[in-house]
Amino acid sequence: MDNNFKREVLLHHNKTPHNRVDSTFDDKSYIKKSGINPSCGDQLTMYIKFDGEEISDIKHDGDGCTMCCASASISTDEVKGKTKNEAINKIENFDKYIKGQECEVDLFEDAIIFEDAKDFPNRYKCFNLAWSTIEEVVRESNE
Amino acid sequence: MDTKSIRDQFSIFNNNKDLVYLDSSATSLTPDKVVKAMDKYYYEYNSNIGRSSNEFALIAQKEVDNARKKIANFFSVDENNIIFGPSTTISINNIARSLSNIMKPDKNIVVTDQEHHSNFLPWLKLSQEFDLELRIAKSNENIIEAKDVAKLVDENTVVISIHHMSNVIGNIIDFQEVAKNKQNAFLIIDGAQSAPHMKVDFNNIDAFIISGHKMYGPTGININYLSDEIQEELEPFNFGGGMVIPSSVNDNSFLVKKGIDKFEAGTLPIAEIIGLSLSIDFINDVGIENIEKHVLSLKEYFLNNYEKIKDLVTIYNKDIKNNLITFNINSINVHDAVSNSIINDISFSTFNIALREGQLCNNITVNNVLGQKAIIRASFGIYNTTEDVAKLINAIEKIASVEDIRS
Repeated sequence: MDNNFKREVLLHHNKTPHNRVDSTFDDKSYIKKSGINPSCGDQLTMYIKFDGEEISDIKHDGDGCTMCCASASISTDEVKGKTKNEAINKIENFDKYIKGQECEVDLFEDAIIFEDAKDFPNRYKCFNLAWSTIEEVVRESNE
Repeated sequence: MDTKSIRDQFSIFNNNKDLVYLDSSATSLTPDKVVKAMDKYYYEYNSNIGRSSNEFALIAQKEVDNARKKIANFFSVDENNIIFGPSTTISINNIARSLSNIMKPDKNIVVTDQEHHSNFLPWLKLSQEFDLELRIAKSNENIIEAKDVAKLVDENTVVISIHHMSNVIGNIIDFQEVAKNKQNAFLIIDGAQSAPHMKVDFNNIDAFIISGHKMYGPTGININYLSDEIQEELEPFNFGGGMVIPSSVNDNSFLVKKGIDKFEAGTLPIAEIIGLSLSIDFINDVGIENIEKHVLSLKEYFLNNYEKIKDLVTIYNKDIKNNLITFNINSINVHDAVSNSIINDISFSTFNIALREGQLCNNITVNNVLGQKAIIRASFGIYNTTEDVAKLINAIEKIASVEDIRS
């Protein structure tokens, strides 16, 4: 994959994040959950709205490094409109992808640009924070 | 200071020519003679101590006894007040837990808002468990002085547990001033950050806790100075071999030994104690006053030469004389500054500069005192040079210019 393309996509999501709200967002129809990276203090909050089995809308806010924020923006695009099972499947595959493990790459849209994430294991939590937070919300919604 | 002859004693510099190691407050590097002494134990006289009486055991026992004596001499205290433990964290936990007899609901414990988690959480837990008040001395413009601690102490204070030098910004408390007003309390000092480069005085205090691996020694070993008074009050840290009078053990009772043995149940980290002994030799050879002078001079060098990056950084501890530069590069997340990522190949890692970023096991100071999410800390040791500091300044300038990671 072309490096300039990856850079362009990452910077786009970093500078103009999709589905981002500010911390005053208080719509009670969304389930809210925060994720924190204790080693650097990066903190994200994900807001997820379900319509039955479907993630009908998702938003996020927070503060983090470029990788963390870009990944958060991309994660929202990736799971919006997906069923809970589809979202979980995609999140599990993303986790494998950023660890360099075999996975279903065809599932990804912009998340495809994280192909080099495996080379930065010390940034794993940065790439994964939003996704793991979404996963927690979805799994908890099934309980 | 002839730093070349010092660096020659650390093979890690020979094996990593471009290494700029600015993380000594996390773990100091280890001189070859420390490693060799531990090797020698394993290669030549590997054995347990205080148990078997074979020849090797006697050699090892002598080495451990000598190490304790040497450490006691270094700190000008009696060897019976030097207790070995596995780490500062575990030892503070042991002390806290073993003081539970004096934790009563009408009593209180005094700490500060700049304590490392290891000197905060054990006391918070104890205060919750025994329903007593935890009094937290607050920083004033990032500084805590002895008087800020002393004013919280009253006749019901059972423990004052404070840093000598804090780990985030390096605030220094004159704990001898605190000792003057400690009333009935045990005064416990977390000395992990100060002991490697400051001469310390254990008079009038009850405990001083030090990490071996921050004293140019190995990991897995720490030094605890415990006064006679606190030794008397403390319950044994652990129960098992070595701490009990063997003939006294029966089905329903046993007698605990007095003194050091009471706190050193089980097999000690023998190799690490022998290594630590050599790290004390290393410090003695250089001179603790010379180490202090050297690390302070490096901070001064930074402050005299950072004009070109002045507007690019926020420094949180300019006015404190210590071995730390605690800072942020303005508008750049600490992770982006410290390590490379998919879109950034210019970070401290690029320049082989090792330092610490994040909350440093002390989010109270980082979040509440400094009002930051995270910080970067460069810490100097005896092997650092002005060239290292110049490289730090240059790296900050380069990282600050990376547009892609600016928020």
